[in-house]
Amino acid sequence: MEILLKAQGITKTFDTGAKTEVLKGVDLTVEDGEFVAIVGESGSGKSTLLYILAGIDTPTSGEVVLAGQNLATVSDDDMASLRRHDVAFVYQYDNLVPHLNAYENITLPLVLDKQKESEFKERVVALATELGIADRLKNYPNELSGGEQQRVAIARALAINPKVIFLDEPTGSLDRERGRQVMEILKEVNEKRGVTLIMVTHSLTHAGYASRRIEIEDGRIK
Amino acid sequence: MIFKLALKNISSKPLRAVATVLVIAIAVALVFSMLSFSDAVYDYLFQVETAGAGISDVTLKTNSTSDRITGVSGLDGIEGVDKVVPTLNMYALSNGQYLSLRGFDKGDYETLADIDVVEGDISLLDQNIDNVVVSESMAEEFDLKVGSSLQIESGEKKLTFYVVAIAKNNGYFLTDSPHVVVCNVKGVSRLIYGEFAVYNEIYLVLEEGASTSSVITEVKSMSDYKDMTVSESKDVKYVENQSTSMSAPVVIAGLGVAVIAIAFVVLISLTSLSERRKYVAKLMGVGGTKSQILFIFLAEVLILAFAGAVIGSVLASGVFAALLAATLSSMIAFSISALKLFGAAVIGFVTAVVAVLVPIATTLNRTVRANENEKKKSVLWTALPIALLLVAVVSVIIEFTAKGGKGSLSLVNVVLVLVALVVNVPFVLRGVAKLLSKFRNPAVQLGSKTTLRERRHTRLQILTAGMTVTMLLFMAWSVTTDIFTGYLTEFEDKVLVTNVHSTIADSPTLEGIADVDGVKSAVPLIWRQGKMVEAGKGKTVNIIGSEKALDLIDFAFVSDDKETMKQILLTPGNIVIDKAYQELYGINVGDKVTVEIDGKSATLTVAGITRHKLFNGNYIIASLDTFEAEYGMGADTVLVVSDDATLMAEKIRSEFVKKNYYAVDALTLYKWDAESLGNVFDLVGTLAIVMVVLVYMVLIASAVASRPNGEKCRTAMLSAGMSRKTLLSSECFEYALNSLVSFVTSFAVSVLMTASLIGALRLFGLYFEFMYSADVVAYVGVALSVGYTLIPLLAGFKKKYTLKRQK
Repeated sequence: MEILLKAQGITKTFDTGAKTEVLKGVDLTVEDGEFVAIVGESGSGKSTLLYILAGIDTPTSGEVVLAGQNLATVSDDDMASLRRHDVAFVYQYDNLVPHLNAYENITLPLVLDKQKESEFKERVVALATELGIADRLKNYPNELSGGEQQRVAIARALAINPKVIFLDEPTGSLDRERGRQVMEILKEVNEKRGVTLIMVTHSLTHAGYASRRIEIEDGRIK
Repeated sequence: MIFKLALKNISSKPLRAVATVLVIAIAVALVFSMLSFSDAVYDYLFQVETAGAGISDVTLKTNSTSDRITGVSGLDGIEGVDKVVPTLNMYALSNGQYLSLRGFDKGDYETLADIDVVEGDISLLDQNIDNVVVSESMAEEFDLKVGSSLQIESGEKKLTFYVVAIAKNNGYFLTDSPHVVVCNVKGVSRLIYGEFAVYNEIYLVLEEGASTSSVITEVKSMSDYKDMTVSESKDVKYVENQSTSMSAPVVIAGLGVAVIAIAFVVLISLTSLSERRKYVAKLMGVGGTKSQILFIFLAEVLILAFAGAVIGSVLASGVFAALLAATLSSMIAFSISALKLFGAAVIGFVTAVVAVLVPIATTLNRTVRANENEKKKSVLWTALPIALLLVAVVSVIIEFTAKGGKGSLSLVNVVLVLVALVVNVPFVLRGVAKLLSKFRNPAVQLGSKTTLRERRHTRLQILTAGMTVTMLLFMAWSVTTDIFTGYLTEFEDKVLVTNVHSTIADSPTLEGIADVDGVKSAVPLIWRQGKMVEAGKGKTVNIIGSEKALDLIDFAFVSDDKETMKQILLTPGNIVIDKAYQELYGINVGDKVTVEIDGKSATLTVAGITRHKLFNGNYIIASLDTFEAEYGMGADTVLVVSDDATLMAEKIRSEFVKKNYYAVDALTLYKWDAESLGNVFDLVGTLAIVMVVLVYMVLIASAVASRPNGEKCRTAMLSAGMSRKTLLSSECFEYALNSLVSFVTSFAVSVLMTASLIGALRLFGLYFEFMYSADVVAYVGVALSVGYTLIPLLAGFKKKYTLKRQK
């Protein structure tokens, strides 16, 4: 298996009046096709680690190489290209642009990639059908349930055929049944499409869907 | 597709988009109007000033209106003289009303100015000396048509004239007060002597490039004209002074509103900055490049700014026409300067684009996570308001303590103090909210804590900026209207009798005028325009020639008391000036100044200083003896005071009908000036109302647009058992708290800004003493505060208090 992500010596300090060191030297490698669950108690630094691995935030020190690109030195345009083609991110909530409907939200990265609608429309509708939101494509985020919103976010992530999807508590705002449905979808995405998943969760049940579990405690991998 | 995203941004916040477009449009229209207003006023006043003399360059007048000459020989031989237009001008009565008759030689009717005929045939003037041309307004008032007869009388002579043409109210007929009647010189002459040509005013049109002063010198040296006053036809300096005085209040007020409108574009943009940052974060998260993100916002703002600039440009001509019609005359023809319109549109357009794009550009260098979660402000940004406050304090101290500090620095301080107030007012609000958050009342506590939790207080800043400027505009309106009303009261009992012979002052009863029943006092004087030259600058002034003027007009006596000043004036060569000259030009008692009247100069001594609020530096006072000694001039006017000025004017006309005096009550004589000035002041009031509408519109748009930000908090409160009534009370309290802080700070700062604003007027050559109307400021502040506090009730916030599932 190829190494998709390699993080070395990651530290992160927040300055909120007093300096707080959230990550204290994390080393991590993720191979292509893995489904990794990062678990830990609240405030352990797991979400911060995920943001840094995905290039959403920058580390205070350390280095992340993602899909062959060193995130510390990658140009803005290359980083944008990485997000349009290889890397997707799904938050716990508030993933969607409120004034775009579900279809427009899903196709947003494709539009930014200057792809023609005729090239992706069929694929996106098929994807929405697969995720059970085909009849909700014209609806705006405030007209969707929490579970539907998460599925739209996952559809948007899958629409670009990424190598890896980062997920921050993707079921955190959902009830148990909807949470389970989303986890089933993710497992299928990982197994059938071979997409690497790196997910932060506080639920041990949901962590059980992953092929590997990493536990963070006090800013370090346990 | 990117463009479609921009359109989606606009359509998702229609209220914000409409407010932005309207504010840009108002800014563009006002900037254009203010850029054009001064020039338009100048052009109009120039036309008024030259209505009689038209295109002529030099005017020769007999010293007394009763003096006439019979020929104009030799004038056309002077080098540089192109045309000589002799005329006979006199006042006569028709139906008890004064008319100004202007008699020209055959073929000369349109040599000085075109007559814009609406009806009839002007060439008929040459066929019969009974024929006349009148204005549209006179035709309407006297119910005249082409072919109508018109009885005109002067002294014991009464003649019938016939209207052959009716002309528009421009050219000779521009002010038309009293109504002008254009006719043949022999026709006019019949009212005095008989059917032959005599003249009392001669106009010279010079060849291009000819020297006016050389021609004047040559005319003065000719024996035939040595007893006539020879001067330039156009007093450009006077027009400049008048147009500055008239346009300065409107230009300052209008630019104030325009600047606030532009500031509102910035503040509206900042209101939604958090939301825009989150949007940027989402776009970055799905692979949007910096240029793509910038282009989305650029396209959005270009659409809004373009719409605003276009609507503003369309509005501009309407606003400008309304301004001119309100202040000058609806008859005025104006042209829209494409360059100025383009300039105004560019100012509005660029400001809007910069206001939106600069904050967005700063987000592009931040990480996705930093844009999602707003960071604490950097030390630099935290220190900026305090630094601005310190700079403002130091600058104000310099303005009021350093010699020559007023003027440009005052103008800078007006802006600086307002900016310092706007950036610091959130700190005041937070301090007050912190104190109030300790109260037990749940509405007060929640309202205070919500205020403390907010990172930005843009609406407070909009309210404070708007309230301060509105307070100043309303106060300016009130103060100027008060002065104006005082002026009207001061002159309502006065009659000016002109067309008198200069020897009238030698008669103890002023040839009987002082004995007319009902006359309280009658004073012979000279009332002329002249030029005071100081430090190389010529300032046109009214010259009041009589020491007794100090009794008749309500002056404040600065350097000495009234009786002492009257004594001082009796010494030939002494004059009294207004305090404005002392303040603006540093002229003091004992200084020598040069005063030029009708081409004659004399050096006079400043012997006293007075003050008059409305004349405001546009006058100097001297005795009749000084005028006789220095300029060889005698009285040209008798100022009469009585209980009923209108009645007294009529009485003098009828009792002295043979002498052909021109007796008019002062308010009628200066009706045009008074109306124009009154309209200018009312226009400042109109701009104040525009400002209120603008502020309120922006506040409501901003309040409604930012509602979603607090939705989670409100849902949490309702979930925790807070009643909808208490929640509404807490929101009203929050708005009231903002209002209170805005009101108190604006009130305090308005005093300082008024002082600086008055100092800034020196740049226009205007001097005013400090005037402040606390009650007006308080009323305006309370009205705006109450209006703002009521927004939660008026906008129906309570209806939207529903428990929503958190997504």
